[in-house]
Amino acid sequence: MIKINEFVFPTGINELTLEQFEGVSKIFNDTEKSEIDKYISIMELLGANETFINDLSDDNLFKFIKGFNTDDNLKKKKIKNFKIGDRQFVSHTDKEFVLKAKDLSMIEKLIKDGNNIFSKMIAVIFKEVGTLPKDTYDKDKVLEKVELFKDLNAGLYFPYIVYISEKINKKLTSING
Amino acid sequence: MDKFIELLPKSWNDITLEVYQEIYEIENSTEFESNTDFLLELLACVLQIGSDDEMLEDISIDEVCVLIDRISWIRKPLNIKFQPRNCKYTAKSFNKITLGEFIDIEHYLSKDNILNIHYLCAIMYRRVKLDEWDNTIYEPYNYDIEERSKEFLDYSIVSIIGILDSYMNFRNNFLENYKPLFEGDDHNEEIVEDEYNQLEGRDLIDAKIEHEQNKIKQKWSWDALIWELCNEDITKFDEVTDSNLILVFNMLAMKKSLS
Repeated sequence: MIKINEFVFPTGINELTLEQFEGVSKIFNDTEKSEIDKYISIMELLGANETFINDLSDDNLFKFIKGFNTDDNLKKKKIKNFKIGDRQFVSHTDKEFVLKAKDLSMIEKLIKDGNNIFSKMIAVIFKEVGTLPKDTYDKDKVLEKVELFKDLNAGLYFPYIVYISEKINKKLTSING
Repeated sequence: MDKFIELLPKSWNDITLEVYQEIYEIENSTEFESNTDFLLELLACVLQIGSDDEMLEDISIDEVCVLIDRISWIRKPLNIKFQPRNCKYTAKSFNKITLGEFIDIEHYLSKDNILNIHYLCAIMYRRVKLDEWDNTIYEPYNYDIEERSKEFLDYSIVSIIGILDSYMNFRNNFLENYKPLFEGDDHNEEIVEDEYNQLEGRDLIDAKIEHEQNKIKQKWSWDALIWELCNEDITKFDEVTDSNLILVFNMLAMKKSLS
């Protein structure tokens, strides 16, 4: 965390939620913003109001830029399950996680709109314990999980995001030969 | 995974016309909501199983990629042969094609070449025999096209696709050679409107009637041609449609140049 004036900002992926991490990624990928504007946008995303931004000094801006590092201490292990309240979610029961084609198909359909991509990935691969097989790929039920998962810690689920992104790239290579 | 690999066809030689047509429909479909769905449908097609088959239920994306790599020959051109192996039929020479056969082929291929290639085969492949002078006699064109076409769905695509290529070459040459006979009056609506603007009264009415009659003629052009060749005698229909295509058009070309 980094404190600037009265605001405390998360720094590093392990302090961001999935929703925040996605927002930060989109900002970093915006080619129309200057580097300075990107970090100001990130501060706004993380809760800074207009007054804070207007009063932001150069020193504090650079303090934030220096302290904000999404690559810090990236986890590699994929967690198998977690609980939210009484609800339990599981990604795999075998030793290693294997991405099923049906899961990837669902992910592709959901992320077409470009929103909540990371939450959608996690919502598809983590199945709720007790869900009927016919509901596993029910779009409404998956989107309900997306809302639920937005506040999950991005660092914990980052290994899945990397894994799925790599599989998508590998599949594209396979098709194109 | 091994059971999938065992079932995969190894080359186009292992693909029938029917499966080739299914692959063609999948590759040209715009209905897939995800790229992975397209790959699963393609795999299901070449494996000849349903896309909801339990074999595909738990398949991983890695396995899908391996299997798709194994059928990468789909991206290569077909090694075309002309004559299906062990086939009881022989392809009829294009120069012997009749007017009726040509019209029927045009009807089927105008909808879609690939999806109707089995009809082309049904019309062009015939049983043959030799007459007393060892001349080849082709089976008459009076069998059930639908039933005959189904037989060709099971032949290997590499032995079937060649006839489509060859037929299209023949067709394009034929249409080029007899181009003046296929060029109708210009019914471009803008030109027609310009013409109408310059006429009035009885002349305008006559022009409109002639234009509508020409539009009807274009719609019924093959039938109109046969009707003309029959001299409006329906009993001559078979005689005309059984006539050699080249002969008919040579006569029509001569008639046009003499008129």
